[in-house]
Amino acid sequence: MSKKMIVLKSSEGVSFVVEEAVARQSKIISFLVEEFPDRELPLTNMTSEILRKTIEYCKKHVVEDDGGGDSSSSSSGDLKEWDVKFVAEIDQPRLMDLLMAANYLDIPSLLDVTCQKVADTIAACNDEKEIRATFNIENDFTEEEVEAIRMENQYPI
Amino acid sequence: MDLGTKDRDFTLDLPPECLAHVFQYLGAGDRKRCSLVCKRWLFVDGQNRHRLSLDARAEIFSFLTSMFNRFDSVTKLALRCDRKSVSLSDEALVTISVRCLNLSRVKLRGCREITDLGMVEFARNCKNLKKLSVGSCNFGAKGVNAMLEHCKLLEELSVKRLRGIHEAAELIQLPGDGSSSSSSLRSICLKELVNGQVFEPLVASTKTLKTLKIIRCLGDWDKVLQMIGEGDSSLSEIHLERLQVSDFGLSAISKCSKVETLHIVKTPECSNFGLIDVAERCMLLRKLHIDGWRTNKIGDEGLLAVARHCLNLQELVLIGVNATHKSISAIASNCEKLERLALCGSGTIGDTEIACIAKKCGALRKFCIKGCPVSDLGIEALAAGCPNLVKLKVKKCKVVTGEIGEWLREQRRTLVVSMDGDETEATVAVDGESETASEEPRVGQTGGGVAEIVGSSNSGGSRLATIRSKFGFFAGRNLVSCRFRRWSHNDNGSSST
Repeated sequence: MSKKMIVLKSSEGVSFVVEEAVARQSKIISFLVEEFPDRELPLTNMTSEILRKTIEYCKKHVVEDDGGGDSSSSSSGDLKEWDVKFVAEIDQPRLMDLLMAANYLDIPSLLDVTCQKVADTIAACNDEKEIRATFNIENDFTEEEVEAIRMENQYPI
Repeated sequence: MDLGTKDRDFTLDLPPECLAHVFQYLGAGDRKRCSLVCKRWLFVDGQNRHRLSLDARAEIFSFLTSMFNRFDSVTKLALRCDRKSVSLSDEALVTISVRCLNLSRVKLRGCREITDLGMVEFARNCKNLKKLSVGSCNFGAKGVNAMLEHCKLLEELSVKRLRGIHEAAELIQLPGDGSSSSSSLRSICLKELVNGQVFEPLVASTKTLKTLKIIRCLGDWDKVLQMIGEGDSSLSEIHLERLQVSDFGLSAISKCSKVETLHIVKTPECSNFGLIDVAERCMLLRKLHIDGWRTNKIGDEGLLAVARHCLNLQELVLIGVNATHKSISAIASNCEKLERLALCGSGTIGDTEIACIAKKCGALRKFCIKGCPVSDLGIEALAAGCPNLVKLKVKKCKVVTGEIGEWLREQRRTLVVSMDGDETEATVAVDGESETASEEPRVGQTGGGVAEIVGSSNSGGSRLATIRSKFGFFAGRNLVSCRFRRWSHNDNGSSST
């Protein structure tokens, strides 16, 4: 018995043929597959590159139906390691794209992993200046505004 | 290939909900830094704080308007003021309540400047409050009553060290005739109160009440419990700790037929007679914790009644209770649902008792023995008994050797055996600090399971363990785990205050 395949189409019009179980990790795709079976699903806001990355992640995380119960605990540690490596290799703009893809497709675990990576990058900065530099963010505060926020920031604990 | 990253802000692509999701992974300090990055980040951070904890010094007042413009989605608010500072005033509290009409949980700690007047206004504005916890404040019964009157959705009320009720004559009760069945109140916790008896009408007449905890409150509590017993109580969980409560009180509790969980901890006047009443009438009892404080007033006689009547018992913790095989064997054979058992600091629990348990407790899953005169013989008996046992903890039992633990592990591979030798906690008692550290009760934290609860037991077996660890070859590791454990004690302490 062959596994059911579905077709996802990127913004460039490239088709990706994916096992249904893999694609169904996205709650949106899961929903679409049920609503429109046997149709190509266009993902017009995702580039082929990001779609390929997303599918790579989903393939790794697909839950194997025939997997034994015992192996799950050891493989979950491996999987975490794999996740860390997966996001470590991605540069900043693509990480943002992937984060948004996870958000759009509703893949909670991928969203967590990518958000954690961005959060780690923020946490590694010593102050707001370093955060701005890291993400090329323009400072749109006046000095008075910064001072006011600083005063306010004394209170939350 | 990264040239593009040099001149563009890619975080601008992220929709606010994604940026907010990223912020969730950051601690308080990092989030403050984020708020200073740019207007967008400030906005997204502010909008997505649902839980906010503030240093509630008086100086906060001038910042409140802008602060709650920024954090305008807060539903869970904690205001804490340390002892050395002057706290925020009534005016500030009311300002907050006007700004945050959707507060569902509020915690006040050390806000000493807040008076009944402030609390009344606050109550009027916080109609959606579900949980209120106050500690070390100065307002009194009027303030609490206002909360009960206006916050119709209030489910949990926790009051600790509230000085305003010290001498007050005013009683605390639900509005109207006091027996309003429309109340949502499910849980009341009273801690370290003087004159806490003013809560009597509230605890006695709230028909919806499921949980009542009275801990280290001064004065006689029998009468309050009697008033509860007179009513048609729906209480299912009662904790009494370090209280002046006698058998009259226990007897009153026995009229609360729905009680499933009962903790009688260090209530030196309670004896077998009270326990017998409880056992005979609280048929639904599932969890029973008794810390006899080695007063010897509760023993076999009371426990035999438990064995006879409490057939639903799943969890039994006996600390400083001198029970012998007479009651233990009866409990072991009658309470067929017993899954968790802890026996601590009892001079009468020996090998015979353990053998009884091994033979008869078919359902037992977790078993803890601490500071009892048990020897290897008793532990050996567990190899063949208690088929469902998954966790065994043996601590501070002087004559139990590490070898028997090893042997037992060999015999029962699925059983997790934890003993003094392996990840020793025995040295904790070394500097006398343990008494105070372990005094901080875990009673307030339910669902911790037997293993955690018995951590607070007092035990006589520690001295030998200390000596053993001093000379033993695990000494180095002992010190490490000892220090580690003290930290975790502190954590517990602070989180429960």
